[in-house]
Amino acid sequence: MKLKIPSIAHWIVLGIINAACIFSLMYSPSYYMENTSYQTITRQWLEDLNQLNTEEYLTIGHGRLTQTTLESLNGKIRNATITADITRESNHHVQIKVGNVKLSQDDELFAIEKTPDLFFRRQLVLQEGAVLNYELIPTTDKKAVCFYVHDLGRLRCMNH
Amino acid sequence: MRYAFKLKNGALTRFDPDTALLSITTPHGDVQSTTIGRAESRLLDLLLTEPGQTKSREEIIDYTWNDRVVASGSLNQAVFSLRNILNDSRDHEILMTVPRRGYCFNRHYVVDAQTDLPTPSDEVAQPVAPAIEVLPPSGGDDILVPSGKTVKPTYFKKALSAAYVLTLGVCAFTGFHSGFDTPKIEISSVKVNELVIHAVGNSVEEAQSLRDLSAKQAQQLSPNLKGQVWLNLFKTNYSVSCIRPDLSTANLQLNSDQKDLALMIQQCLEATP
Repeated sequence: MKLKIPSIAHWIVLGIINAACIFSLMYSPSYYMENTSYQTITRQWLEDLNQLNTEEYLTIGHGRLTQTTLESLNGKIRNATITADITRESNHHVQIKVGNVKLSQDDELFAIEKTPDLFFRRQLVLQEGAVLNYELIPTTDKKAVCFYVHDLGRLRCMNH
Repeated sequence: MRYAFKLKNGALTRFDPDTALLSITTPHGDVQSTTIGRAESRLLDLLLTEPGQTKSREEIIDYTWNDRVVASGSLNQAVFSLRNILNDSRDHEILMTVPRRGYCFNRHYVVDAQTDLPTPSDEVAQPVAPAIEVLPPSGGDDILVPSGKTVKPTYFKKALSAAYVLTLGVCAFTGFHSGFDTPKIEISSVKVNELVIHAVGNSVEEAQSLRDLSAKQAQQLSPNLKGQVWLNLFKTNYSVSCIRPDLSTANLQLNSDQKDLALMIQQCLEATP
């Protein structure tokens, strides 16, 4: 039965490869908790040395990512909510496609046009259809999540 | 001279015209040996001599019955009998009828005679058969495998091919899912007292450079500062993100010439807007 030996070897090797792939697919613990609202505060100094303070909220789950940002600058406040579909996902990477953007004041740009880099990055995030790549960074505690948005060069840590 | 060919169910068949022995190895590895009748043996021998070449009825009768005078019904009977043995009685794919010309053996069913498939016990001691006893007509035959290689039954080959394709698909999906083709960041960390600083860069060198710079500046910080800090330099903008000991988080962003890193780290870990 010389045929059976190499044939069985083929099947065993294929079985091992498939099992390894399926195992890695099943066992891919995420660095974040699904359907948990994370929040953080951000302080950003504009080029005119004004300080833009933001509160950010993020929820990821059921194939969607929702991010709400409350910005305040010189007493003015506005909010923006982005809803995006997750197009690709692994334990350390989330790719989203912005599907819906809601702004409290579309024509109110604050003073951020004085900081062109921030202004143009904002434009990209708020563009429906924009694709953004989030790389999740492992943290020592599950209550906090850190990520880097490649397309914006933006680093964030958030907690719940 | 020995021949080997496949049957439609993938079974590999060896035929020894000297002994009229037909050995059929099923896809499951079972071997069935049958001694076929003289007429069927001579008929099969002639057709396998040149697979794909049509032999006329007269030529077949001359060879099979050695100039004995036989009725044409004898040839029909031998063909019928042989087709039954080869399980080809329904569609005549192996032993083909060429209308108004004669018969031929379908060369696509012929395989290399030298194979390491199991042989009947009474053949084990026989010398290895020549590499290729039966050559297809010029023009090539992609069914014929190179000499010395194992000829696997069609069923197994198809199943194995399907399994390879499936495995390739699973691996591709896994690779896609794991995001191996996505951009990656590099992190280089350093601990300064109770503070852990992680420098994030697009390359190891970038991360290490930022780590060294931040570690140097962090020496100015109070040794009581605790927590974890992530730093990144994108173009001319620093991003500082931190997780404080109480697990609250904060982020700072500013141009690299506006403030120094040590002050930013301290503000991130202490300040509340």
